[in-house]
Amino acid sequence: MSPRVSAQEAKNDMLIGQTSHTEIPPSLSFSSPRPLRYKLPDTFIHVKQSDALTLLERDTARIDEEIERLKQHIDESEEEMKRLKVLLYGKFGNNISEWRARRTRRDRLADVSLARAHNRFGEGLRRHES
Amino acid sequence: MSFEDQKLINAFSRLNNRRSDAEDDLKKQEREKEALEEVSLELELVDEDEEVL
Repeated sequence: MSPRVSAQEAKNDMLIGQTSHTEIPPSLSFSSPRPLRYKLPDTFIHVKQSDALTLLERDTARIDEEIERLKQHIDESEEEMKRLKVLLYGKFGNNISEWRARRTRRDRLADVSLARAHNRFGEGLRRHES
Repeated sequence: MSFEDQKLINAFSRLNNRRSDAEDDLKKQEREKEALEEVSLELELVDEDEEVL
């Protein structure tokens, strides 16, 4: 990677969009009429303790929400996978792994993408069982 | 194998990938939450009016 980066490139990398006033506690808002949000991945800023608490509470609430959402997402996925697994085992029974090997060999050249989807399925099925 | 069967398998595969992505993300978020909890403890030890990072 070239060490020389034009100002425009740097700007493009950092500028990820405008933020709304609602995302920033009023006490932290910038005076600019159109505040721009810069990505600061590993940076610290000095804030008062009360502001730190505000930020912390906000981040905690956001993360709790995100964790809840992800857990629900995982539960829903697993629920649906269970349903599909019943259908698939009903159709293929215990031949699934044998059939998988045969199918993979046959399709090695003919239909790589299908074989891939198929391998993923086999993996998922085993994972799901464990 | 019928087209319908292949669709079932693809659906399963897609769900499995999605679940796996969500699990990775969940682990990341839980680590982040632990960090926030540590910060919360640290904050309680800080004097009022003192600047903190």
